[in-house]
Amino acid sequence: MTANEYWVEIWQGDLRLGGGFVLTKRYVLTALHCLRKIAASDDAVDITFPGASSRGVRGRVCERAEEADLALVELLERLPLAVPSPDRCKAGEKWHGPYRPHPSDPYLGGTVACESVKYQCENGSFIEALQLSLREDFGDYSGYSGGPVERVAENGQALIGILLEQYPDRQQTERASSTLFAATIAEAVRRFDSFDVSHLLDVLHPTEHRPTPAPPPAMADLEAGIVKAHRLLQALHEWGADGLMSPTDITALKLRVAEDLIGGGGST
Amino acid sequence: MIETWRDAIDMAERSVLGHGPAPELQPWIARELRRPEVEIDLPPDGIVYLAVLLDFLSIGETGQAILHAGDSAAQRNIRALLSAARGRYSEALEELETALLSPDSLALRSRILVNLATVSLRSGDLAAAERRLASAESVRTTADDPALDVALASTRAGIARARCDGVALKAAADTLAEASRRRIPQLERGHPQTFLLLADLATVELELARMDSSASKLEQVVMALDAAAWGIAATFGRRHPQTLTVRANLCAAELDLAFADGSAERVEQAAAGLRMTYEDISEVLGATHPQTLLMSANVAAAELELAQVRGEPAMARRVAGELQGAVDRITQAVGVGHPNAVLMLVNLASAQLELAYAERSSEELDRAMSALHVAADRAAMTFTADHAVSALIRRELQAAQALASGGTMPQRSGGGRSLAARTTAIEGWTFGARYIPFHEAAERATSSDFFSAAEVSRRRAPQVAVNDMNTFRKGQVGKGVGSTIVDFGHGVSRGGFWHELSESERTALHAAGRTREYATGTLLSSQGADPDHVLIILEGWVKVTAGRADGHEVMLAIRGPADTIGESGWLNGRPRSANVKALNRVRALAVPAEQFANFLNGHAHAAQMLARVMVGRMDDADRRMTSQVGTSGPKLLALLLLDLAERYGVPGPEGSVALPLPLTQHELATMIGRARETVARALTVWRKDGLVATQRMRILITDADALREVAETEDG
Repeated sequence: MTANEYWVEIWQGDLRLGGGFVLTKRYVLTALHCLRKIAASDDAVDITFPGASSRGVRGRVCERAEEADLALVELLERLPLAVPSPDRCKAGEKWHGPYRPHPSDPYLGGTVACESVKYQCENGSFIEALQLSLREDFGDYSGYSGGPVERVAENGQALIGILLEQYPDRQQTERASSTLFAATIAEAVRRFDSFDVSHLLDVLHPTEHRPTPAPPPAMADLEAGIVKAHRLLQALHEWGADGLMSPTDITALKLRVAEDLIGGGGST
Repeated sequence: MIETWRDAIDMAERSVLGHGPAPELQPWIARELRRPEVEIDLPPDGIVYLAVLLDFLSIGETGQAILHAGDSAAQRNIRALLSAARGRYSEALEELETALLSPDSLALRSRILVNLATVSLRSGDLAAAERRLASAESVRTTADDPALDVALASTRAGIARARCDGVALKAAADTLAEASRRRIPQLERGHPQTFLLLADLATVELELARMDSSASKLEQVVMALDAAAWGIAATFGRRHPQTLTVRANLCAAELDLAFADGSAERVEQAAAGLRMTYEDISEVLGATHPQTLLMSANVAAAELELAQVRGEPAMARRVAGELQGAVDRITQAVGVGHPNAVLMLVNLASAQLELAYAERSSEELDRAMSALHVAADRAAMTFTADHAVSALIRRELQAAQALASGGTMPQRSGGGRSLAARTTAIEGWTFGARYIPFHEAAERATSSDFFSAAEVSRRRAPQVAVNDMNTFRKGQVGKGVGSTIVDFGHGVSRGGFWHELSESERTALHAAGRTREYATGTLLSSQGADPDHVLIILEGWVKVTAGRADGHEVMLAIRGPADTIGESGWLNGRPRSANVKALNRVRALAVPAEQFANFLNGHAHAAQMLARVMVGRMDDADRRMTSQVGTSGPKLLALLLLDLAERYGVPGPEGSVALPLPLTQHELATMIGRARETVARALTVWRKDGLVATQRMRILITDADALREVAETEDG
């Protein structure tokens, strides 16, 4: 897969939820309203790559930013993804939307009308957004939400935003205008805990003196605990796959297993 | 809408925090500063703060202009940092020394001292850096100042890195990580500073990973730098100097990882990434900025390593020349005693030694010996005797002496390529450069694809023998592998304007213009710009491209030595119709439009020659347009290669012709209006059939007649 094919479709079973794109090697970014067909507690989704021949992978909705209408989906399998670099843009530059809901739909593109507007989302809160003018002056472009916005650049792709909303025609509100709004990538970075760098700092340079409230279990006990926990996690995974338990319950139980193991508890 | 200086700060703040660019900021400030009596109604700290914000937004020159409206210690402090960021270290040190005389507060004094330490480190004065750092710590006013602690730890790490002191570096990494953990919660989530802190720590960890030869640590460093570069690009843009700095270090870490992996393909990818970043840096910071110069040396060093991995002494020889040029420029910019200049000199001498061994040439060995002695003298002045670089140069000298007396060279430490000492670090930049022994490469070269006389002969007459590796002795000049390599650096455009001029015309034109140098990737002129001067290429190659309405670029032509650029815009008085970018280092004569007109007015023969060149170009364009219709891709490519060979080709061994133009397959494809795959496929077939030999961005036509047959065969 190349960076040319980084946009995705999000599914749950046979239900198509909407578009999105690979933001980093680990996460897919989408518009939260694309996920409204599934329950807020339901986080298991499937990701397909319509622009590439790659097979689909499983994903997990890991963060929902209600106020910004954005959601972050974690890819549960690692793929050799080439992700385009995020960038800034200027008013007057050309933009291009490589994602389209169906092969018979046109690609979107046009000019950046304003590189930074304070935009009020449908749910009433404000985000920093790009105001985009469409090249073609007509129609309703619902279905394109969650797709990436690229700046037409000399060298490679430059990712500048995520499509969120189309502005309605002020005269006939049932008609859509040729103005679109997209959240900037910097806005998305601010909205999700997953982009907090603290955990990377810990991976890079682990703290040597972590507080240890309880003495660690003996090594033999710990190993036995790990084996036991592993079996339980596997069982939980199978129950989830068979639909015996809801994904939310499974996540809560997995967390409990992990906590018990780290804390040396005996409940596993 | 900006109406006051406070509005300007608000807008700059919003922009720095990633809420979009602020296009009106710069014009507003420029207008205000042009007023007869400038009054910036902000306290000194406010002025400084605005200047810092502007620098973050890549409009630091405007920030400088604001700072020059006053002379408080705070303003001087920031003015110095901006000078340092532009590579003007002595100017920065002078400002800081003056600021130190009248600091507004003790807190400011400690920051000025830290900055003095940092700039001293960058300018290569390690003793001064340590002294200033100790002073900064002694005057701190509060124990809880994470931002100051980060700055102190970062500078301490820089000094430890320059001294190759692993213990001190580890201690500095611990302090830096701890201070960063305290600093991050003070910043809002997604703040660019958080990513910069991560990048800073990752750069220190990169050095530790090299010292420990730890591949798993390298992977973590790559992951962290990747995340940091991504986060900074999201806020500042992908070509902001901060983003480029982190990207450069990421490429260096990826190169290390590729070597640890041992895959030539990964090394090639990483070296290509490094070159791409260098080209961006050169464009953004300018060709003479110390970081650009250091980067050019690192690119050459990486490509030398690549040559060794691929076993291509010919390529190594060419790149060694580039490294020599880069070392000269760095030395000129930062001084002979600067650690980076010395490290690069050691790298160069070491590469020359490897080449001497591979080519079994006594002249090369003599040259390598003298380079090693110069490097040893410089290293003795800059580093202590127990410094890793000093130890390395001693080993290299021993190896050179063994080679001179016995014809064999002892295997050096770590198989010759895990020499962590060959690391260059400046302003938080670190790059590695290690070498594998060249004798292995030379052995492989006898059967590999490279443009030596041996290779060409092998293709045509397999019985031609290559010198035995073991027969080399001092004084016996080897004529085998690599000794008659085609030199790609001196291609000449036949029929170019400059060559058509008489000696007196050339002298007159030379006097009317100024010689300029452009680094690889530099934009010499851009579409839409005013045609205010004409360029005559003296050395190097450029590509001429034009942007189409759909945003794609089309390659129009390649121009080389003796060709003119920009004459048509000047003649028709319209803005420039194309972009011109340097494919390699270019030296050109820039003649202002008015002087060029005067010259032609006074030299009728020269005007005639220019007209002839231009008519020739129009004919070429017509021919190319006609030939592209209904002609197959391979045939077009054959025509193009023959055309380039006729204009710019350099005679090679055995009647072969080398194309001295550093063109990628993509660029060749654009020139014939076909897909890159078409070019790749045709070259593969022709390589197999012995029509051409190829290297990365190099083509040698080994059988021009056969290629002509391809070009003349009817399609279909």
